Amino acid sequence: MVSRRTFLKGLALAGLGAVAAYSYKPIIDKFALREIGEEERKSLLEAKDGVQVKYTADVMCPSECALEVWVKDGRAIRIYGNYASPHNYGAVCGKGAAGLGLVYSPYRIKKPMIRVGERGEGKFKEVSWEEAIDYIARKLVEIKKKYGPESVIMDTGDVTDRDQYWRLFFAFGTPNCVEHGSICDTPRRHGPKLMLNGKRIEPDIMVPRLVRQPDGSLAWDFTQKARLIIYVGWNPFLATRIAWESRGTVAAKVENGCKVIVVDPSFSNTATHADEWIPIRPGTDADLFAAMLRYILENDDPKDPARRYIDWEFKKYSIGWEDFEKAFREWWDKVDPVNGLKYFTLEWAENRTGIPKEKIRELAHLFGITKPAALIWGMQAPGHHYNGYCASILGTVLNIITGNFDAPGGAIDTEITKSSKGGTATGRWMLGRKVKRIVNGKEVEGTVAQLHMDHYGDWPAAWDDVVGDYPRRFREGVTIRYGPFRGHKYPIKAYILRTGNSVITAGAPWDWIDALTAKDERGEYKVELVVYIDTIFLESALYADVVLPEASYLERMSLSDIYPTYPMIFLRDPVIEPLHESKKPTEIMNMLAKRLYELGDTDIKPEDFWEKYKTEEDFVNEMLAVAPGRPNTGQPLPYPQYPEGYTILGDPESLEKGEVTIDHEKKVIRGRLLTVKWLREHKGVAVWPMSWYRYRRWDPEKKEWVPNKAWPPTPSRMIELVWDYTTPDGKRQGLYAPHNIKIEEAGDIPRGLQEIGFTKFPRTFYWFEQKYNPYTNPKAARLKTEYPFMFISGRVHHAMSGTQMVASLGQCPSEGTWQPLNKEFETEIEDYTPEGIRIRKKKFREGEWCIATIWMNSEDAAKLGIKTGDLIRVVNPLGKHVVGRAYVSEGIRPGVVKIPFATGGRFSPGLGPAYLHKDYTPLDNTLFIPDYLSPIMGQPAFTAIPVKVEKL
Amino acid sequence: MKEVQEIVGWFVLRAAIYDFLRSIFILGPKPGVLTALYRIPANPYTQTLSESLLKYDVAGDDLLVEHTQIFTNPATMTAVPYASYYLSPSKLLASEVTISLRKLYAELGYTLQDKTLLEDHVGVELEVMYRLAAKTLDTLKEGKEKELEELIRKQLYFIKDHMLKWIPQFCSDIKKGASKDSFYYKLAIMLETFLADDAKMLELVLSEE
Repeated sequence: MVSRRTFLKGLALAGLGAVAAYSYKPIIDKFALREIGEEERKSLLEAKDGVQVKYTADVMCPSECALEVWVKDGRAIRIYGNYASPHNYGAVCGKGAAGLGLVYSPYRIKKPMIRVGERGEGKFKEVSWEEAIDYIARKLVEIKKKYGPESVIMDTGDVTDRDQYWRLFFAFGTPNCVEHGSICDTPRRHGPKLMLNGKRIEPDIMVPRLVRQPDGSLAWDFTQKARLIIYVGWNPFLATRIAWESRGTVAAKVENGCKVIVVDPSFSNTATHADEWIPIRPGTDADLFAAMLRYILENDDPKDPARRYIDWEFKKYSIGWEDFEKAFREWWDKVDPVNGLKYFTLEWAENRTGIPKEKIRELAHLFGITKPAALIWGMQAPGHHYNGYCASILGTVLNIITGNFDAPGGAIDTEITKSSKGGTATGRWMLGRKVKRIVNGKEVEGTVAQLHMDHYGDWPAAWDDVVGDYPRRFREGVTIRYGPFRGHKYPIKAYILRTGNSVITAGAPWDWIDALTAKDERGEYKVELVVYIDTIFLESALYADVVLPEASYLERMSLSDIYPTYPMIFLRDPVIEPLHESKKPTEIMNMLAKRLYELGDTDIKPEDFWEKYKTEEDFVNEMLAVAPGRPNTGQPLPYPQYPEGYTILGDPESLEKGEVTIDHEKKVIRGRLLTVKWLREHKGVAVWPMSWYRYRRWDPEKKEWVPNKAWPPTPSRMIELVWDYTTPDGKRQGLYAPHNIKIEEAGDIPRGLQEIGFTKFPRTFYWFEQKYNPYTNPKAARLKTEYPFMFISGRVHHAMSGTQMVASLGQCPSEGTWQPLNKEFETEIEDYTPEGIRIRKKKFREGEWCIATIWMNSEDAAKLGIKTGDLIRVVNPLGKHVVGRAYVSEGIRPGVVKIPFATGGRFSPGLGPAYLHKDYTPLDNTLFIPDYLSPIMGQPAFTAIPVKVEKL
Repeated sequence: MKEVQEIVGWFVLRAAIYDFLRSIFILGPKPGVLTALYRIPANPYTQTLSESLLKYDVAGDDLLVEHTQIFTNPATMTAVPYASYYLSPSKLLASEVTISLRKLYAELGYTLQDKTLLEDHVGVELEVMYRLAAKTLDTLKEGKEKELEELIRKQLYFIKDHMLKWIPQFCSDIKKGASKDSFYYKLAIMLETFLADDAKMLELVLSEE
């Protein structure tokens, strides 16, 4: 035996000969590690372990709250709310705080992949970014050559951080760049759009507000002013991106005695905190609003304080009331064929809505007499109804005529009060480029915009596009029906999906899958290219040809996309480096642009992409140049030192200090333009002052308030109650006017209008019925017997579509639709401890985990012999069905079944526990009827669908 | 001295095997990586691997797909190639495990230059072993006895106190996603066995007797 020393010595000696002869060359001369010198070594070892505090914006849900993130050793270790932002004012919900579980998830998309099996099979191979980009670019160039760039759809799913993708594809030459808005709630937004050129009316309960004081200073105002809020099919405690509304509702109640009424078929989370819950029949919100308006018009008496419902001042600030009222009153003597009652009377509404007429009268009276008040209608009711437009128009009018619009404590359209962003960076200007097409053998010239599949195709007034109609377009292609290219046909050959999950959320999953896997006679997929870009891998990725990993929200730069009641913006600042091979949107844009350019695409100019945007900061600075972009109007005037009515640009500091130039010709006050640098120096947040009555100004000569003609941003800068009119100087104006001009020129009535018997977009108030409501539409009456239930779905933003990959987010008990009705299972689940996240394997026994269920009323259940936990089947008139466990309670109107959004039947593995329950939980959109697209804007009517229920 | 010769042979072999392992885990089954298998001196570890390759069409994507389905595709992956997943109580990536390795590598004179990877990626850990194994050969050539001992000690520590704490479970996860006659199944067996054997050999070299 030799000692260790001897052995090593011997080894060293013997090694000399043996090893000298062996010269080893590494397999690949590329190393993950590099050697470091003594100095670098020292600095790495001596690196301080201090915590850095960084500010950014969330994307775990669309609230996009302002965050404070703690970073140590380059790792994000804690997520908190950012107090500098009044939007969430330091608050962060459980979902926001769970963000690290997504960012550092082992199941993120780490590398680009290309499909090798059939679509849906889920078989991929890793490739380099260069290979993936080359694959996509070649395919795009080929498609562009063969079919035109318009046959490519760029769907950015989520709104946020989309601008780079839109810019690239606008430059490529397609106008078909979309986001999820069209499958969100377009009918709900329609009334505000037509009358205010806005979108989302919300109650004035967001605090704190930055308000100009009489002495000229700015101060935070925390007072709640609202006295009545009526939420109709709107569930801010759970299902909205407007996060401040949940705490504001409670604050208004507690601090100002505000009465909160919730009108909803189900006892929603918001209803649990309301003073009153009114269970309405699904799909009849418009009927309720019509009866409220009729009651108010018939009973208003300016001389009687107990009936002074209408604030007639509104007429001064609006145009077209006489026309609107006339059109509305024309219905009053008509008899409804369904119930034999006169339209919009209390009795009529009682028959349709199932709400006692006394209650409707009380509601109308209360809303008319209480000031300030706000009538709010939601995403999952009018927003998902075939005739939600009527509800949205009536709701907007009710807020306007009662004097609540933009009043303190009243109803504010947040679309037109928030800060502007995006500007020229989004590349919309490229839509104006001239292009030529051969149509019916003739060369025609027009703009890129005029090739839009919806705006110049089947849905001319679909401002937010029509994603719900894509499966049909994938199969049938597009026919341009309006504008210079009328008659031009093109197929859809590429579908680029970024941060969206259309297969689950944009219509019926079975229909989407069918369309994405449809093949032509040669056996090739009809949609030749499907690309999926995201941080997380959802069902739609299974149908993609190429999957690209995008940097997560903690790794990329952009701006929050929020809906506050006054202008503010916060920075999404990368707090850590992108993990794995993920890339930021700006890099992806530049890479793909460059490859397209190299392959000869002359529409792509280096100066529009990689030469212009060397960093993502360059891009975001351009997006910020238009902030806040709102006029200096209202009381108190945001900037009394500057001219009233002028547009405000620049960071809050320079505007406050008077470091501005004023362009009297263009009516612009320009401070130092807001930049990423400025935001970083101010905890990532810019806030400008709030004001109310932003549509009026004081006329010292007349000694009265007059319209300021600067806001709202309608064509007339007045509230417009007519939407296609001629100005005194002979100009055709109004939000419907351009579409009607298109229709008149082409002599072609859009499919949606044909379906409801219209020949063009109405000039003012209009009415049509729900297509499949047997209680309101005689044509649907036959469904009443065979399909006696109405199916509704409830959006739940803390579920969303993908964040369930964080195990604990895979269950959140909410509004009765999620109940602990699981079968026994085992999963890894995280605990949040002072030391950080701890994962442990845990067995959940039956009845311990909340899953998607089918919620139904106890009376109905008793009749069918169903009890909580029973497996039941819900079938729609197409025979499509879902299976799930029943949850029986009195908290839902009889005749209604409710299924939560996108939480059941989830078939993408890696979605955590949600996947484990897929076989006995319902996927709500399975019950959607693909042709049930609301006729004005094509939004899928996801809710109020007749169904039958069977016990299994 | 026969024993000594055997050990020297092992030192030469292990450098080649670590090089192959770091390449296959970082770069994937690239042709250049696979052909390197045949350059490694005959040994029981890579022999079964080379044999398993015969059933694959080298020009095709089968092997790359197998690799992707096991390690990369979120819908199918069975093995997470990061120590954090196995060693951190959070099971999240870029954990305190990653940071402690960052410090360890700095002590050894290295830092991560490929930012698409993390310090606790299996390929990076294997590259550290390759670097140290190659350095061992250099030290042997130079006959620096003390340095040699120090170097071997460091390697043994890294394998025993770190790699063997998670690699066996990682290998068993690879096997869950691979058929028994597949390349990756064999690779999993090989990685686990080789690491254990290497640790034994290094221990032997350092042993008093």
